[in-house]
Amino acid sequence: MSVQYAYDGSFPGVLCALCASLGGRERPFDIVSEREFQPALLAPTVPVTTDDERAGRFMERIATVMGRRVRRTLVRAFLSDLPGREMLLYDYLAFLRDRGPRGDACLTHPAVAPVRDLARQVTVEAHRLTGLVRFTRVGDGLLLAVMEPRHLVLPLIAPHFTRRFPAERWVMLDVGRGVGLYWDTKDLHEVESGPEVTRLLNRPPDDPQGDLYEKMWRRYFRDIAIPERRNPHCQRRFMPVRYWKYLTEKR
Amino acid sequence: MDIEKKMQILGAAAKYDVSCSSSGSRRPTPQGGSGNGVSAGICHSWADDGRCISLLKTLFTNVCIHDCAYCVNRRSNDIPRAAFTVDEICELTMEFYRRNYIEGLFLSSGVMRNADYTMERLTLVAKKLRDEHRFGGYIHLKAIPGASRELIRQAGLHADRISVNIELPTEKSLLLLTDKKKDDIMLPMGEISTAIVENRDERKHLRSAPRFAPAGQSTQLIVGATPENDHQIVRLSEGLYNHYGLKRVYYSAFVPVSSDNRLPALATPPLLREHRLYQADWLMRYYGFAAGEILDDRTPFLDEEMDPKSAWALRNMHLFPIDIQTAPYESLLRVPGIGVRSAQRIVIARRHSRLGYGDLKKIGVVMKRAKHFLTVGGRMLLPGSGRPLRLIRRDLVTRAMLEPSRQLSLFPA
Ligand code: SF4
Repeated sequence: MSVQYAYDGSFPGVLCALCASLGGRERPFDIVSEREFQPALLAPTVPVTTDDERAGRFMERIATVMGRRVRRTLVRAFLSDLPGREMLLYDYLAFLRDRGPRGDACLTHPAVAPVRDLARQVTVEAHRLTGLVRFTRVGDGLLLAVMEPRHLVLPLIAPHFTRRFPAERWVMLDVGRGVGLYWDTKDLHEVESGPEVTRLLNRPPDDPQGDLYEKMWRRYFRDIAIPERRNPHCQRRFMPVRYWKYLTEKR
Repeated sequence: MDIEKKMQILGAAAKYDVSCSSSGSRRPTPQGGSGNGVSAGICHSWADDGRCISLLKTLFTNVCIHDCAYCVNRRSNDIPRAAFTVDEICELTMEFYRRNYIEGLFLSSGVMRNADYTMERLTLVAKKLRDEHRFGGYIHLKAIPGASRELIRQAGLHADRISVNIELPTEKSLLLLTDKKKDDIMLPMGEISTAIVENRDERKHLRSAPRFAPAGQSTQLIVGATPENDHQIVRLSEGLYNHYGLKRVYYSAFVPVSSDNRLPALATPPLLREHRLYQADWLMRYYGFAAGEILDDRTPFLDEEMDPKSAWALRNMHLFPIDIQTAPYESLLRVPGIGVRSAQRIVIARRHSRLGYGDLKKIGVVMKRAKHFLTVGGRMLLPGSGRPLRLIRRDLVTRAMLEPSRQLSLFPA
């Protein structure tokens, strides 16, 4: 009888679940995170213990056997954070296991297409946000960026900003998920939403007049458009309305 | 005058300069500084006219000794004037950059006192940003027509890109609408192009040689202010790509900014024409088309109803259909409805399986157009497609999303 795997919701966790399930020939009934877990009537539940080392080895193996591209696809599809992605990952890897690494080129195959598609969506959003993230000054030179992305892109975009602003201290918050990253000019730290973060969010700006550069940016944004060429449709296509809430120029 | 007021006058004044590209330069973050170049470029916002905002695009000053008819900054125009200081621009750039509004600076200017004086100011901004602010982001400088060789060489050592705007496609038009000569523009352009080539050579032998405008050179042409046809424009662009090694030619639909009677009276800017020119330009840069294939003396204007590739295919039906399993990549690229990405994906996917209608759809091919040009195993991919010409044409026509634009009849004779 096929079983249901329950893991802790983390990436190493899902890797351990995938590793365990791919060893057998039978397709599991489901792989669910504890967060979404509900006992299934027809399938016994197998809890998966997360073992970082084992997960790391599994990733390495995927990279050597299937190629680094597959590993990248796997990471990004997982970060889509969409419910049900675990079984898509399973089908993808099971297909590659049977077909060999070249199976990844079967772009239209039902086991490959959805996963690559998810990975692409995540990549697109991450790339978009590297441009759309806005920092504000919140005192003592600290820069704060708040966002509410569809996918869990924070770990993907943070390296871009550590490279770009290595000498600044900054915090990036995904308020939808209540997670964040803090760069102290040397290391990245994970921060969770809590009173500390709330205080940061509600902190009055350095200058009670409002930030002069924010003001100038808003004005610049308005003036740079050529009125004879107005094209709100095009604007929304590239900069979907769901991001506007945190854009300085659109607030 | 305070910086906010200056920003109001000068910030918007550069909006008719089209280029906002921040791509083509990979630059590491300087020690202790901020900013790097990302070779793919990043867009930071989209303005109400749908154009991407990637750089702080501003004028150093809108004071100008020239009187070009199509330009708001022309001497004879009665508008408020201002000039930034070098430090003000540096400050603005750094503060905008830190808040992640921009990838860098695009600095253009009216001509204050003389060409060299102005060019010197622009160069100073770039130098200060690099040396004092340790800024590693993108800098695009305008070369001022008529500026000296030495200054342009200096500018290129700090900037990622330099550009000189040609603005008008022929010398005749240039003489009609400006007090500039062809040489004022073409000489700096040639200078930049030589410097880029020399620098590339130099760096082959000496990795540590300073880089000269690593993102290359670009220019801009105004479309619809003068009577040149599309064939002339496309040929000019081809020449600029092939002989001057330009990275990009930008086209800017003429927006009337004065009632000068040397200029045409357009109700709206010729946006559709501009759009078609970009498509044609794209075909030359990425699809291996020559200008002479896109247009010729008998068809001097781009078709407004369909994109230039479709128009070309329709004139060359004898080259089609081609087979989806065996046609080389270059031929796939020429099929209407197949783009670079889908052509690449077809080449990968067909190694493993025989492709059908559904696969191509999934790959992202626009089947409505492509079906008329493709066979699989000797038969049309979709039975019944591929003729007659009237039906193919119907499928190739794109809804004209924009106003008809070629209003040359309004041109004063
Ligand atoms: S030289 Fe440049 S800024 Fe001056 S009027 Fe001519 S186009 Fe305008």
